Amino acid sequence: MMRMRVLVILPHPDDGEALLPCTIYQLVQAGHDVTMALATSDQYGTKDPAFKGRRMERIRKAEMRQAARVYGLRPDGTPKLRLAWIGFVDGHTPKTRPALERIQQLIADVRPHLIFGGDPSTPSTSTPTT
Amino acid sequence: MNIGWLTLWAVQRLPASQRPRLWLYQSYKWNLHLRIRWRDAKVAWQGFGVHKTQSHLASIKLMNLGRAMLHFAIQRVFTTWPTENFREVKWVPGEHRLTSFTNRFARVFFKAAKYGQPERGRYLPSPQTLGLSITPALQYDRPVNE
Repeated sequence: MMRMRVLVILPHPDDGEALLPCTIYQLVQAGHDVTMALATSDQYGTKDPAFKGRRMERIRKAEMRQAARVYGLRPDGTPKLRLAWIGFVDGHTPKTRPALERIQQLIADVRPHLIFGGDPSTPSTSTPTT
Repeated sequence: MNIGWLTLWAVQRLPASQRPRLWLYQSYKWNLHLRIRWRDAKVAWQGFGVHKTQSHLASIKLMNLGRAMLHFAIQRVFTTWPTENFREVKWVPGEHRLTSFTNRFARVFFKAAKYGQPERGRYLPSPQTLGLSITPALQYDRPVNE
């Protein structure tokens, strides 16, 4: 079986676990090289103003790194799932040429055979600008 | 939604010979049903349970539950096994264009129900106030070429 490079592009940490966890799990378990790219670090993922921003970013990144371990571990104890951080700001992801070039760079780095992306024609329930 | 458009445009701009397959999740116009095993479903709960900061957002969870129930009900009609559904983008002329799945009536309904609109104040204060900006470069937890 050919070992595929798979790129999953998601707006926030936890979207992978909410939207396509079993597909990612089965790909990882089948030995494919899966990279999960998070567009933002969910800097606005709380109602508490004291946590918004860098503080929330640190927490959400730590949670995502912990969640990556659920999909399986390599012999050295690191997650089989590779995480990539695209670096946009939650709720303020621009549809601009520099932003597009960032995604093109990601695809050029990973060189995937298969990409999972969000369907832009589906109304977002919470974050239309991410 | 914006990241969905960026992904679509980035793949669309690649030469046809280098273009990877693009499968869209969270689509209501799916054409792929990937069968999942019930025993793998626990990964969803284990993985989502780690995101403890999000467990109190009851409204979002309810919406996700409603969407999951809708998906589950529909996919049970068309398939006999639990599946995760995707839309594979067909790169043939006229087929790659995405149009909204909603008609005019549905748009009015969604607007009235404030579906797809963030709660008031969710993205305040501004990123500048919080000292946030787009990071200078992509970051990988593990090298991509290993």
